[in-house]
Amino acid sequence: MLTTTDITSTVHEQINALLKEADKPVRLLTGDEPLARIGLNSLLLARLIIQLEMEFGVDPFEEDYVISDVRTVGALADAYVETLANLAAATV
Amino acid sequence: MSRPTAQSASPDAVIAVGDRFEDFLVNRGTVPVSDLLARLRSGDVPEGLAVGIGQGLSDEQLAEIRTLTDRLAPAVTVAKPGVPERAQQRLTHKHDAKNVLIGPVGQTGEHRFAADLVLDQHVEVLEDHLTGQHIPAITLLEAARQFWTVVTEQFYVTGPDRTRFVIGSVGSTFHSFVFPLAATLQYELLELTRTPVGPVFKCRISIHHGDTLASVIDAEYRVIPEQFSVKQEKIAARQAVVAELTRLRDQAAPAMSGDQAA
Repeated sequence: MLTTTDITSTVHEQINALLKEADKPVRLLTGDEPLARIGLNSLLLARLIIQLEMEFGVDPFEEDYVISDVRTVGALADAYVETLANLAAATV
Repeated sequence: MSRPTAQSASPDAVIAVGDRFEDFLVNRGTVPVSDLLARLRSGDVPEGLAVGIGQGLSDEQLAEIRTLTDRLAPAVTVAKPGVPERAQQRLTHKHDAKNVLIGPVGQTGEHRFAADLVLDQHVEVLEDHLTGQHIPAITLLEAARQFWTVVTEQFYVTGPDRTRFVIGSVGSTFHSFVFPLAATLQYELLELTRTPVGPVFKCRISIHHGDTLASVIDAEYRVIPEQFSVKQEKIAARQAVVAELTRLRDQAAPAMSGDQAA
């Protein structure tokens, strides 16, 4: 079972991996950063969500969340934390 | 020997053009392709006739001209560059063969390519109507789009993964008319940038009538792995629907409270 810290750190790692691949500045993420300002355009964001789906096996934006409601990096990580928790609860 | 018609006053050379180009076919030396085919089928042609292939011919008409001129050679010859062929339909992303607007692509230098304009008069971008004698600009833009698609798929993005082409920008200048005569397109790759979400190409396509530069089209496009593109679109579509539903609910809310107040 993944902890909130595991999920958050995976989200941060995947964001930085993508920024590095795109030759954009990589930084230590705290979670407060606005998602719209970290250097991911809509296409890179789509790729990030694909990467995270491969990591976690879920895509919160299929049903529960709308991307425009997710304002910060922390909120993005929270979307995965909640979706995974809901999934775990549903399978118990 | 046949008598020359009004449209083919010079018996030793004619240019076959699609029948729909009626305004252009008033020019001496041009001939509607259906008339030419009728004459070739009957053998009613002058000795030493050179046939030039213009625009507007279907694949079937091109094939029949090839067969008939072979049969009638050397009395009838097809002028260089010969009877054109169309590029592979799959490479142009068209579902109907008549909508393919270019011939097979050849490499002419490092990051430089060329293809013939090969236009069927029933192509979708001419379907509605023709204005005047020339080929409309929108048809040339579609030919350019097909050309950069073929060049990219044939020479740069050759893997098995499915991709989508997304246009970032297109700029075009039209210097002179392109008439339904033989024309060529040239592609020059100006810049290629690899990114985590597919390569971005900047190219310049020029369209030529012989030595005359008729138009130039600059384009920037990205070739996106299909799974990224599908995901991007899905996220955007869901967001657009939710935003619209929110707007509708917001619109409805004051009306309801107004009714209640009344």
